[in-house]
Amino acid sequence: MQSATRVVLLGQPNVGKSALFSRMTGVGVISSNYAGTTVEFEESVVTHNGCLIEVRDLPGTYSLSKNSPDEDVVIQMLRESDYDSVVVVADSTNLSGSLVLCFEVLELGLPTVLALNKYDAGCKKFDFDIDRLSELLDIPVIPVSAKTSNGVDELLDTLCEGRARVSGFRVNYSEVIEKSISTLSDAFVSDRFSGYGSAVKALEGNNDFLPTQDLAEAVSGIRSMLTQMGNEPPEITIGRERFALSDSISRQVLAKTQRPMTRKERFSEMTIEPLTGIPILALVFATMFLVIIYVGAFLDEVVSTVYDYVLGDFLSSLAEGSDPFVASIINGINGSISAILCLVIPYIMVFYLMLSLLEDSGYIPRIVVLLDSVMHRFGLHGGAAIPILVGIGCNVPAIMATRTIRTRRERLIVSSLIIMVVPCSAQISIIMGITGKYAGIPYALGIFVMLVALGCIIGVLLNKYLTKSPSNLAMELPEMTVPHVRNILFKTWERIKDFFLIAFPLLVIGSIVIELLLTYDILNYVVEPFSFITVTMLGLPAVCIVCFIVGILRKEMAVGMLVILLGENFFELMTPAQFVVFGVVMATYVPCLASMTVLWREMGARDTALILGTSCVMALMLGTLTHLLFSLF
Amino acid sequence: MGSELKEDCLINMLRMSEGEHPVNILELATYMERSSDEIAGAVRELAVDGLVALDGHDASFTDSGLLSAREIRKKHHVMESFLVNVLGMDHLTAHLEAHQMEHKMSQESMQKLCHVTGNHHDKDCSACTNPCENMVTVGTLQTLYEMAVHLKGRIAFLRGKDPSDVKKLISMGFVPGRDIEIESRISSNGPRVVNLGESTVAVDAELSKAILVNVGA
Repeated sequence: MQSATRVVLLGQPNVGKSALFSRMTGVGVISSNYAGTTVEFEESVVTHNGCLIEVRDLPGTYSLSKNSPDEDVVIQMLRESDYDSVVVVADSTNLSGSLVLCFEVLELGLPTVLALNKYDAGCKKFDFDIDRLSELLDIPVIPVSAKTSNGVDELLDTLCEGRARVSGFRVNYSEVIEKSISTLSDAFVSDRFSGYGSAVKALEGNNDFLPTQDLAEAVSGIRSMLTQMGNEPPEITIGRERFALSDSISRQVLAKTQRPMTRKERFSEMTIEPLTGIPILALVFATMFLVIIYVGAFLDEVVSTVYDYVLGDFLSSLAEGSDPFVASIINGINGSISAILCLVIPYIMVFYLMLSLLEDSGYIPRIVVLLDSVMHRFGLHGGAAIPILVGIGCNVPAIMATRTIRTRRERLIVSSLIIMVVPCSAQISIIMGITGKYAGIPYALGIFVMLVALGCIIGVLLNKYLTKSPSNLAMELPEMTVPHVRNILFKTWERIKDFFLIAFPLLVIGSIVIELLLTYDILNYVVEPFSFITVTMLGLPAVCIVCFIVGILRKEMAVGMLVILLGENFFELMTPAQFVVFGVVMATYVPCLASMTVLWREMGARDTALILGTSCVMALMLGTLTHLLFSLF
Repeated sequence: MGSELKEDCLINMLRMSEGEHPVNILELATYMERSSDEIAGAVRELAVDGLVALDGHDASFTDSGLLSAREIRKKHHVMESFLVNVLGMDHLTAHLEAHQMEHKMSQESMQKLCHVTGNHHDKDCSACTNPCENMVTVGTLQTLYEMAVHLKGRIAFLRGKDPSDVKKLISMGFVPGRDIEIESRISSNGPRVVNLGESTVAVDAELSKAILVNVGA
């Protein structure tokens, strides 16, 4: 069997690696217009003109300096995995920044190709001299556009033909640095990395590339000497000289085109000006909220009417004429289809469409900047707003996204907030579709206000308990772009397809089981032991315990269960107060199983148990309190 | 007690604390690789001269002491810059020579050397090979935190307390010698949005205090 050429895609955040990966392999991965979309590597195999290429997309990294957990993933991959060449993906609109990472890769002696991505956008700002750039770096340079696919075939050709090369390029640092490198480099040669590159990394304070850690002490001595001599740590000297060279190369290969400021650029500026940026932010949040409420409610109506007309009424009449066993199965199927459609399409899909729009427009980093001061009150920096925003969609990628946060303390605060008070799209749909629809929109809004207030209290308390200043924010702001409909739809589908592929079959099975338990009058034996919680404490029908339990599997199943348990006219069997209590408990109690698993993996057993325990107690207390309040008035 | 040792104590205290906190005399002796008795004696003399204040084993700068320390370091950098940029000497030799001459150089020589090295702001030594950290309060050097919106300048140096912050800044392109322009400031204690090369980067207030910019350079 033909062996594959193994390639890794490496680049700074937001240079379009994931989009290029999708174009090269045809495998859809979610890409957005902000840094940190990829926190784990993706891989796929592609056949191009009979040549097999295995491509890996690594998380974005500004350097190989190990500044955050996702940068660790990159360094670990470069050290431990097998690959034949590295494709450094550069952003044509910000060449000098991208070149610095390329220098690091070239110094390490890895066979490299430079893919100049966003070339179409870059050409609007600059005239490029690609041949000169290739000559200066001593590697193939391929202009590509992941947006249009231009240049992707040429890039694949280059990789198939094995034209990635180990470059003789050197930054030529100041004499004292070069002397130190040459002192160390002979001892630093390893199977994979050049002694020169490993020595440079070691002088920068990163010992990950050393062939043996016994050398770390020698490096430390030389670093101290260089710091004493230069009055600055060697990593600053090295960084300064790298950037000086990358700026110089950029000047040699780019000619700036003269053009007036575009409307997009003017709007982009307005989003970060305090006078205009804050009103725009308020407008964006209000629009999102109103769209979810009103468009969601409208679509809910349309979907349920259409479903009943096309299938629902037919299945109901079929069930009526069947024996109890068959009727249970038909009702189970009917209830699950209706629940999943009325939940996913009106609320979850609308939310993800809005989130994808924000992501692809490049507005998310602006939100980070505008919210930075607010987040500091909770011991976080503005960057923590990204996992929280993503968490409004789904807690699982949100907890994964906390990897971009540098300290464990901040990850713990953000993860706690995500789990305890950030409602995922399924929870939003429960709040809107159950509480909002049957108790009234003001009550649904009240639950959101309660969650915000709880978030503030928990954030302040955790900040006080876990005393330490937040780490600092330094974030690149991408240019704002007009999102592509194709990518928006693709991302939305990628994010909601699990609801159909995973949640739906589970819901059907669960619904049939519940229907059978109801038909044969067994359910009471199951729910009775929990009636103290459901009936006495929360004032809900005893069967609601089933919703809470299946809600741990998938939150969206809880609504389906409510329909199955109490029948399609469940809203006549519950009071508005009960719908509010149900919404409060569903919004705050433990997350779904997938979120728990990811939390366990990311934060460990102790913190997971602590967060989940607190979440459970808090949900019961809030539910009971809400029930008591309604009993009083 | 030689005045060179006292001046060395001042400059090393500055390196250790930047004048922001007291320095333990024993730690200073270790840092300078000298005996603790020798350094304790020098520091006591500095206290008599009114350049440092002693509190047990801790020494902190007086206002005049801090100025003197910065002045000595500035002389070092101006001389080093002259040796490297004008005479073409290598960095290591220039650094060792400058270390000797910083104790001998007059204020007038220093100012003239500043002109020779191409820097006409006589209190600003940003033309040095290794710009010194003593320019925070003088001349046109400002922290990014202090800079007004739309001001342009050139990054002079970084002084983050947390090494990983400095590493992150370097990797994002905040390195001495690069041009920077402050585009927006969300609030007085909010992030600063800057143009750096072709990038637009947001830096929060705390981190922006770590970036020293030679405004108007």
